[in-house]
Amino acid sequence: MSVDEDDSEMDFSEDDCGYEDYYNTAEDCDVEQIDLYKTDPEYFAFECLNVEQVERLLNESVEMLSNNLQITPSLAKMLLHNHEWGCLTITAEYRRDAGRLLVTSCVKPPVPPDTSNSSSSVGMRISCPVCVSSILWDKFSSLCCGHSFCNMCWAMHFEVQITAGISTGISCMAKGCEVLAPEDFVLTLLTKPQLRDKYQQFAFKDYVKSHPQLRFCPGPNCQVVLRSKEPKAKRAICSYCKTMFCFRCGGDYHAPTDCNTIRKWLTKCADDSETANYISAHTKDCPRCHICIEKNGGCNHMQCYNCKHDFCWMCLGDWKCHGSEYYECSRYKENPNIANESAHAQAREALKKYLHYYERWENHCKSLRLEEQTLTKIKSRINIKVMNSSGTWIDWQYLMDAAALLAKCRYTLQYTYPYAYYMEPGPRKELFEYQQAQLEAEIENLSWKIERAESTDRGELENQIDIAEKRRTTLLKDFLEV
Amino acid sequence: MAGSALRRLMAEYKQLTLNPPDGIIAGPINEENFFEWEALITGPDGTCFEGGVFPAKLIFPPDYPLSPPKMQFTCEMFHPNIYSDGRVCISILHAPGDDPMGYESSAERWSPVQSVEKILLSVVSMLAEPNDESGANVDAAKMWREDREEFNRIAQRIVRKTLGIPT
Repeated sequence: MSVDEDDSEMDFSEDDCGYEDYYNTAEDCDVEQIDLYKTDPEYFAFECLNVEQVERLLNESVEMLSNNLQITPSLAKMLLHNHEWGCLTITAEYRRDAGRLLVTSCVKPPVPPDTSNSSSSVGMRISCPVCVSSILWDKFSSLCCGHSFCNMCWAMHFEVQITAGISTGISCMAKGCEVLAPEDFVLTLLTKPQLRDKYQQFAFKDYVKSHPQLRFCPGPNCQVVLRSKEPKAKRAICSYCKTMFCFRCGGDYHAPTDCNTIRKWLTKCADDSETANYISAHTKDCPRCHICIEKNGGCNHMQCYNCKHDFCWMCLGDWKCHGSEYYECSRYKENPNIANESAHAQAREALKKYLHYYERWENHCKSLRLEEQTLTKIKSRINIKVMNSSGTWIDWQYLMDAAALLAKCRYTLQYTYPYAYYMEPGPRKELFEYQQAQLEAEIENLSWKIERAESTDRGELENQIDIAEKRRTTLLKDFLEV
Repeated sequence: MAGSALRRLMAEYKQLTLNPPDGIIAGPINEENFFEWEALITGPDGTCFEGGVFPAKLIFPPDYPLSPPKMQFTCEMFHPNIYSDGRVCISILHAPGDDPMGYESSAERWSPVQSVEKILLSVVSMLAEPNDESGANVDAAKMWREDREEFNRIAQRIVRKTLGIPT
């Protein structure tokens, strides 16, 4: 595990609230060494690299491929960038059909260039098709597609592209030509030092993004690149800025929910599709003229303001022939048989279901923020206690551990709600919601006890920590699929 | 940068004056400023825009031809690929990779060897055959798909308007 083992226990002032701390206590490590993947469903091996380390790593691949195939490093880089840095696949493809590989990687044009009229003599001037100036022939360059342009125009083309944020994707200037400009070609013609720097920075970003084992830390202004040999949807924590994220999608860590589901959930929460659902749930169309009606009173006898049609809000039947059957409608509402109900009733039911999960998701999110404030309170409480000689600083450490674990558990609990929302009804969902309820109960218990811990008698709280974490791990073991 | 842009624009202007394509006239509004052109485009025969003469403005960037110009009709227009303010949205005016509508991957893109003439010819064929998957003007695209008769009526009214015939 590469999550800050070097964090000394004494360093409690600012960055001790990370969720990983609980795992790093000495007694746990001995057990975990046996089979971390079995004991801890969230175990994930990764390392944090700085820019130089990443460059070294990329250069190793480039060197290996260029030696293997006897090609220039610049070409090797293009091929690697195009093929997710799969050295072995590229070597195999190259040996099988080098021409095809180079064409599909946009290194070579599909049709070889026409070289019949390229006879040039010293001192000859030709017209550049871009700037229409006539220029000495030796001031022209071309990629292997043979489209020749003057060096000034190439440099300007690169400048325009780099300014637009394009680096590895710069292509030939000819119409419809997709041949890409390799790094050495760009750097030979690009003279402005600022642009060269920018080009190299952008290219580095492209290389990291195309590498399946590498991820930029999503933390603000953080330069760290994380590397894992198995890029799974697991919890990664930047050792530098402590940002916690899902290694696969780069979003906030979201176990037990998977990447696609959490994206769907977050979009659902963010967009206004629920407004449409609300309208559908709180309004109905007049059965005769189909104008949209909002019910603004309790009575189910409706009269359309548009066509004056009298109807029943519940069953949308004509009010006149309704008569004594009215109370049938009311029972219908009490026993919802959702499959047979109208589209409106179904939408209303869907909204109710969504709101049920959303409110809990939102609530735990708020609780997490509130408990961050509790953590500062705990710190000052510990300081006061230590000052009053009621226990030493060490004696009170368990409270910090408890608060960190509480945050970790509540975080997981928050992310169980989107998971449950998208689950199909059935025994598996029942089991999930049972475990979720158990976890929730233990978490509220723990939160209550932490807020009221007044002595160094840690037994009861330690016990509660253990129960809550066991519940969390059990739930993840059963439902976290990576 | 602007030096080579000017040289190139002058060359293109010369070419367009010597060999004008059918139904297209274009040139700088004022020869003091080669970066703003006016173009007159005749509606293609056999289409609902037949007979119309549509004025448009072309604005060239200082790094032309490395970046494409912008084109905007200055008369009223009703067309799926023209925004209601007259701006033209076709693939040749977009650099490769810059794809605001996400639909034109295979279509012809801007490249420094394209020209004003190529743009104007593309616009003529766009008038004849709208791309109804691009929604620069969603109302026009919908009407083009679902109510061609009404679309033709509106186009004919615009044609008469550009010719100064009372509608």
